[in-house]
Amino acid sequence: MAMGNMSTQPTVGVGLRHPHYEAALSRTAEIDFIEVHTENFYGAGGASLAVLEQANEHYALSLHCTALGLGSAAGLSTQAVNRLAQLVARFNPMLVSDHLCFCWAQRGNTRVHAGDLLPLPRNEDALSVLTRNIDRVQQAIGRPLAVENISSYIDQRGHRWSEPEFLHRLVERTGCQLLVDINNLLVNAHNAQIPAAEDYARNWLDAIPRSAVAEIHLAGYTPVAPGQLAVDDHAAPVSDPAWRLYAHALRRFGNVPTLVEWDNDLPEWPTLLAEASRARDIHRDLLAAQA
Amino acid sequence: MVDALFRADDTDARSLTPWQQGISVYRRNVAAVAEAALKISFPSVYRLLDQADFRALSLALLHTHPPVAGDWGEWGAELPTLLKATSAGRQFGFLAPMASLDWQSHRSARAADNRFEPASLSLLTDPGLDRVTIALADHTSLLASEYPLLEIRGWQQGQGANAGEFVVTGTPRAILVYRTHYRVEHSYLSPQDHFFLSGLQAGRAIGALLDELATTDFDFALWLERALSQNLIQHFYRL
Repeated sequence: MAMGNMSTQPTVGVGLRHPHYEAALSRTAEIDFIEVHTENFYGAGGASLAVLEQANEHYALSLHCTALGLGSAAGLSTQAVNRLAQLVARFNPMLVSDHLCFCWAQRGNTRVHAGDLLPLPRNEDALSVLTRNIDRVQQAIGRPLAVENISSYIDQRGHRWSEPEFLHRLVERTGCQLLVDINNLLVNAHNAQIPAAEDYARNWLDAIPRSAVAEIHLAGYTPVAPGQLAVDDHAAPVSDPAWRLYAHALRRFGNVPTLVEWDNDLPEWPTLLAEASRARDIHRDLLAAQA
Repeated sequence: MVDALFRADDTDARSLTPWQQGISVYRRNVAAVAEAALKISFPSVYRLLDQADFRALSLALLHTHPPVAGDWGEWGAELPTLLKATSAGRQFGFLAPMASLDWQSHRSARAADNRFEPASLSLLTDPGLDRVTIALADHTSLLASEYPLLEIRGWQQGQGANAGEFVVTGTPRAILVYRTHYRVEHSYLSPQDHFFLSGLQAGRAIGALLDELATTDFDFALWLERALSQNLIQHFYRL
């Protein structure tokens, strides 16, 4: 297996959510960056943007979109693309990302937003739509966009390629980067009732284009009984299989920025920071082993 | 697939196909996010309704007015009208006006930061009041209600009157919604202040509005001082 460059110090961040604003801003924590959901800062002004300014004085910033709908055949929202471009111009973030999904659809005379990340068939049509939309976003923000693999609760029909094959083509066509969400791999393996989930995820990590990976997401999900659909709820600590896969991913991709996400049943700020520390420790152990 | 997300879930959970099970997950996700978004945009309505009613209201809005902006913060404008048609809205007439106040407050919180342009003050002398008006800050809006909305909000927040002391006047009272720095504020307006601000919103000349207020105790200099302290003014502009 080709090895990534581990020769630099880890870059580890956490997702910043509203209940943690005060704790995060009252003193600088031992993290390298924070990631925020851009839609929470689409207002023209007000306290949210002021908080983001303040946060950006303490930490490097990653802007993570959850609603562009890059795979939408109905097209993107011009307003959303413009808002994102304004945020990028204002904050000069270290990363900008969104998901491999669609959100927009035409319903009668109205174009509606689904409010969730909906899976795409991995075929030529979807690839063309993604290429067009990603190109539009990248032109607007003047930099590559990192595209994240999602969790899926239905099996879309009409796949021509596996997800890694599809990502190879997407990277080739658009020059986009990849954001690897390890938890989503495990959720998908569970939902597809793949017996060796960790092996499936490891093979997936080995098959995607190595040099395109710009970020790794770590999160946990609420366990469910076999046969029930697992939901990527970001409501639990990072699982042991996810930590093992993270070490594997670091060995392959090298020192890519790593983010710990936690969105529901939020723990206290120190608990979240402890998860980030664990990611940092794993990275340092690998670094020491290579030395 | 998107159609299925915004339809009421009337399938029998015991007989779902894998596809329907998946759609149910998406439907629950969207419903939960929608409800969370409305809690933020309509905090007073959320506190006034019980949780089941608020959830039902959120679902009804999702089915009748799905999001069209890709930003949950922009979703909810139709809630006051929808609320009027619910049994709770019909029983408690103040709910729909309170929803309007919540929505305007939410819009104010997200509006562009205002910075008064002092150089535009020179227009008051040249060309003078008859040919000049005022651009109000984007965070400023007006509404009127016969219900004591601010007292109810204060009561919810543990301030001011007891619930038993609320008075429905039968005469609508005007409320100004605005933002000083990052805090959304509300205040009742006198009829003269309401008339003047409404006239400015309509783009009428200051001079013409003052002429109509000539027989009242409205004092433009005092109003201007207060408006500047409340950050209500963007700039003066020539008509």
